[in-house]
Amino acid sequence: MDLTGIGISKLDLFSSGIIILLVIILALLFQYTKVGRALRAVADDHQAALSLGIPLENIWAIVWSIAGFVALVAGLLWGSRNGVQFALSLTALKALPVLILGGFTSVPGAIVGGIIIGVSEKLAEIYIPPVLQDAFGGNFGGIEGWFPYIFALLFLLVRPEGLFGEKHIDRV
Amino acid sequence: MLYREAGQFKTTYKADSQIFPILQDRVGMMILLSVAAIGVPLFASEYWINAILIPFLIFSLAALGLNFLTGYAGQLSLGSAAFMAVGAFATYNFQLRIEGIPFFLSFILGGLSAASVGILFGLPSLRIKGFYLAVATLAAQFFVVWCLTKFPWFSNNSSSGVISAQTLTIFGFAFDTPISKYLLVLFIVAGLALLGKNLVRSSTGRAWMAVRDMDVAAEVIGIPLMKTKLMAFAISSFYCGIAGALYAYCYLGTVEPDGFSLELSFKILFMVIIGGVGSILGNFLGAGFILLLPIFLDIVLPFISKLLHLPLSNATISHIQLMVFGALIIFFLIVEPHGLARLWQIGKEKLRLWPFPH
Amino acid sequence: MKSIKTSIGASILATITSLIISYPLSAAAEDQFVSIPSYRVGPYGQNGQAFYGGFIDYLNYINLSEGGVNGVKFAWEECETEYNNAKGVECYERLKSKSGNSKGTAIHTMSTGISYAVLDKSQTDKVPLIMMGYGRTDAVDGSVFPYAFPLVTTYQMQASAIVKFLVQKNGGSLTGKKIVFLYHDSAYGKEPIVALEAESKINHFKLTEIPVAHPGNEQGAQWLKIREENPDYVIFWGWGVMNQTALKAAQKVGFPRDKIIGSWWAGSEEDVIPAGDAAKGYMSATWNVSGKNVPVIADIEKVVYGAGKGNLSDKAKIGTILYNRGVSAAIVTVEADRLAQTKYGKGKVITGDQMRWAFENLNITNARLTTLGATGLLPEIKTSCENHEGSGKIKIQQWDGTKWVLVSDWIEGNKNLIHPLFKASAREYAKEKNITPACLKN
Repeated sequence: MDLTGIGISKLDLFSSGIIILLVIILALLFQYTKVGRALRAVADDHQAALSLGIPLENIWAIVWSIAGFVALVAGLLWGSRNGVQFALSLTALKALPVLILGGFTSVPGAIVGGIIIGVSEKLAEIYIPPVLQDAFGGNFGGIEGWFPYIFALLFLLVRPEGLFGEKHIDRV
Repeated sequence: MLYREAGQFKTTYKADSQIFPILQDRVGMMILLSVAAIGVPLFASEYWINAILIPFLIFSLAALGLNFLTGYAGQLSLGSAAFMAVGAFATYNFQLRIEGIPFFLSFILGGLSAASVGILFGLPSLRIKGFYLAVATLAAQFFVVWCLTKFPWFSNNSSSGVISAQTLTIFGFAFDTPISKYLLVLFIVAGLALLGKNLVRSSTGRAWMAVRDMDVAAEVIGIPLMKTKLMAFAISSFYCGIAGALYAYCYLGTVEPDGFSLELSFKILFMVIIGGVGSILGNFLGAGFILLLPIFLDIVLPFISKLLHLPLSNATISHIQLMVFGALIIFFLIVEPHGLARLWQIGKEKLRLWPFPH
Repeated sequence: MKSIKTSIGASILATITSLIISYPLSAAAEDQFVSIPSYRVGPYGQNGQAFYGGFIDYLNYINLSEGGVNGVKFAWEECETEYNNAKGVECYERLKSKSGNSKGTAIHTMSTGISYAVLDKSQTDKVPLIMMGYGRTDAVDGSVFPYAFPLVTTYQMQASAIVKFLVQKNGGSLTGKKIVFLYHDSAYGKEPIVALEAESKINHFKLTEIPVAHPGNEQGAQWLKIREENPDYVIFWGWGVMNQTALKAAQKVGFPRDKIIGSWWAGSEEDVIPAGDAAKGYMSATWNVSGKNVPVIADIEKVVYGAGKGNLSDKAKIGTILYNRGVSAAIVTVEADRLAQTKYGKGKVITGDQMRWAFENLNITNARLTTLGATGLLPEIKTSCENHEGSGKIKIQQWDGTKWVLVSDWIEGNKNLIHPLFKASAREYAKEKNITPACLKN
C-alpha cells in the first residue's frame, strides 16, 4: 500500500490491528473484571490484598501468564515481519524505556510510551546522523541503539513517575 | 573448628581495628597470598594462568567495583562494561599520545577517565532510584559503546575500530610473559581489594550503606546525598576502568568496543549477585563461579555423556552446558539469595559448633 | 542419613575432580592434532555447524580413504567459543595445552574478533592462524605478521572485486552511479570502507555508507533511507540475522534484490532460506560453489557418512555453501600438511612452526584441485612472504529461489590499489609494536 509516498505494508496494518485489539482486551480486563481488580490491588499493596483474602500465589501465576502471552503475541508479530532470531532478546530490553515513559502502573501509559519511543527512535535514526555528519565528518548511524534509553533518561529527570504513573512518596 | 577464635584480646585501638583481628586468620591470608604469588607461577600450567587465573582476577576487580555501587550504595547499575571500555580505551590513548608516560600513570589516568564518565552518568541517581536507575545506566552502556565505535579518534583511526594494546613496560621491565602479566594483575587486584575493604569499613562505606537502606533518613541525619552517591559512582567506575584496562593489556591484547557489550555488564552483575552483594569476599567467589563453572561443565559433560553412552553431538553438549549454567544460577538464588559469601559465613559458623548442631 | 548424603556427594566430587586433573591428555604421539575452536550455539550457531561440519568431515575423509597424510592420521578436538572473544582465547589456550608439538596445527576461528584476540598469542606460540576470508587483513604482509594468514581473499580485495564485477556489468564504467554500502557496525563491517572509498575515487561513483547496529534485526530506518537515496546498487556486508532481515526489509520497501550484492559471509543458505521469496535474485560473493556436484563432496558423503562417521546430524546440509567452505578450509590445511611433510619428513607429525613454512609456500594449482576432486571449491592459491593472501579472487553467485547459481567467473580485486594499503597499515603496526619487518627463513 502506498499512501502519499510512505509505503505501509499490509502486514504492518494487520499487526497494528491485532495489537489494538489486545490492548483493548487488557484494558477491559483490568478495569471491569474481578481478576483485574485483584491484580491492581496486589500491585498497590501486597499485605492489604492478602488481608482481603486475595490468594497471592494464584495472582502471581495469572500475572506471569498474561505477561508471557502478550510477549508471545509481540514475538509472533515481530517474527512474521523480520524473522525470528536469537537476538530478539535484545529487542525486548527496549520495553524498559517504554515502561519508564509511560509510568509503571498504567496500561494507556504503556501504549502512549510505546508509540512515542518507537517513533522517536526511528526518526532519530534518520534525521540525526546527517547533522552529526556535517559537524564531525565520518559516519554516525546506529543511533537507535541508545536513543530510547537516553530519551527515557532525560524524561526521568524531568518527570520521574512517567506520563501516566502515580507519584511515588517515600516515607521514612 | 580448626582453632579457637576467642581469647585474643587487644590493647590498642590500632590492633582492634585490623581487618583480620585473629592471628590464625592473618596467617591463613598470608599463606593464601604466598600460594597465589609464588606457588602458582611455579606449579600452574600456562593454560591455567593465561585462561583462568588472569580473567578470574580481572573480573573479580570489576565485580568489586560494581559491588561498591550496587551492594554497598544500593544504586543499581547495568553499565559496568561501558566503564571498563572507557578505562581500556582511555589507557590506550594516554599511552599512545603522551610520549614517555609511565604505564602506571596511564592506568590511573584511565581509571580517572572512567570515574568522570561514571560521575556523569551517575548524576541521574540524584533524582531517580532503583529500577529507573538501572535504565539510566543501560543508557550509559549503549551510548558509551556507540561513542567509542563512531569517533575513530578513540581507536587511533584504525580501519576496523580494534585497538591493539602496546607492550606493557614498567620501569623498563617488559610484562609480556604469562607469569609476569599474572603477577602484575595479582599485585594490582590485591592492592585495590585491600583499599576497597578499608573503604567500606570507613565512614564513606557507612554513608553508602545508610544511603542504601533508606536515603531519605540518611539525608535527615546529615549525610550529604549528592557527594555520597557521586562518590560511589566515581569509585566504582574507577575500579571498573582499571579492570577494563587490565582486560585489554594483560588478557586479550586487542579490544574492540563491541567486546564490552551488554552481555559483559550482565555477567559482572551476576557475579555480584551470586557472590553476595555487600561483601568483598563475595566478588571473588562470584567471579570464580561464573568463570569456572562453564569451563568445568565443558570438560565434565563430554565425559558423562561418554560414560553413559549418550550419542550427544557437540552442539547439544554446548546447549546443555548453557542450560545447566542457567539452572544452577536459579538454584543458587533460591537456596541462598544472599549469595556465596553468605554460604561461606554460614559454613564458618557451623564449623565453629561442629560436631554439635547448635 | 546426612552422613550418607555427604559421603556420596564427596565421592562424586572427588571422582570428577580426579577426572579433570587427569584430563589434559595429549593426543597419541603419532597423530596430527588439529585445534578446532568452533561455535555451534548462539546466534551464529547454524553457520558454525555447517562450516565446522564440513571441516571435520574432510579430515575424517582423509583418515578413512588415505589413512591420513603419508600414514599420519588427523586427530582433533572442538571447543565451544560461542563466537565470544574471551571464550575464544580460553578455548585456544585449552586446546594448545593438549596439542603437544603441533600446537594445534592451524587455527581456524571463523571470527574476526577472536582472530584479533588470538593473533599475538599465535605468534608467540608459533602456530599459524588461518583467517580464510576474514580477520586481520593487513596480515597479508608476512614480514610483519609471519604467523597470520588471511588466505584466499580479504575483505578489501573482495569489495574491490565486487566493484569490478559491477563495472563489467555496466559496460566498463560506473561514472555517475550511486552505490550504498550497508554494513554491520563492527570490525568486520568497517574494514572494506577504506578500499571502497579508494575505488569510488577511481571509478567516479558516489558512495554512501550506512551502518546497522549489532545485531541488525532492526533495519527499517536504514532501508527507508536507501529507498530515499535510490542507489543503483547496494553492497551489503551483513552477518547472521542481519542478512535475512535486510532481504525482508528490502522487499518491504520495494528495492529490487538483484541490485544487492553481499559479501561471502552474507551469501549462504542459512541467510536466504529464512527470507523466503524475498531473497530471489540476491547476489553474493563466494569462492566456492554450492551443491554436491563437486566430486570430493559426493565422495565425502559416500565414504564418511557411509561409515557412519559424518559430523552433521542433518545430512541435508551437505553441499551447502558453508559446508563446502569448511571442506575448502580443511583442504588447504591438509595440503599445507602434505607440503610440510615433503620438506620436513614424510610420515612425521608436523609442528606449528613447520606448518607456518608450508602456509607461506603454498602452491595449489588448478591441476592439483582437479586431482583432489575439488574444482570449484577454491581458486588457485600461491602464497609468499609478501603475499599471505595467495589469491584475491572471488566469483559472484545468485540465488534463484532454490539454489545458488554462479553468474561470473573468477574476478580478482584491484591488487595494485589494495595491497599497498595493507603494507602501509602493517608498517604502522610494526612501528607501534617495535617489530622489525623481516621474512622468516625456516
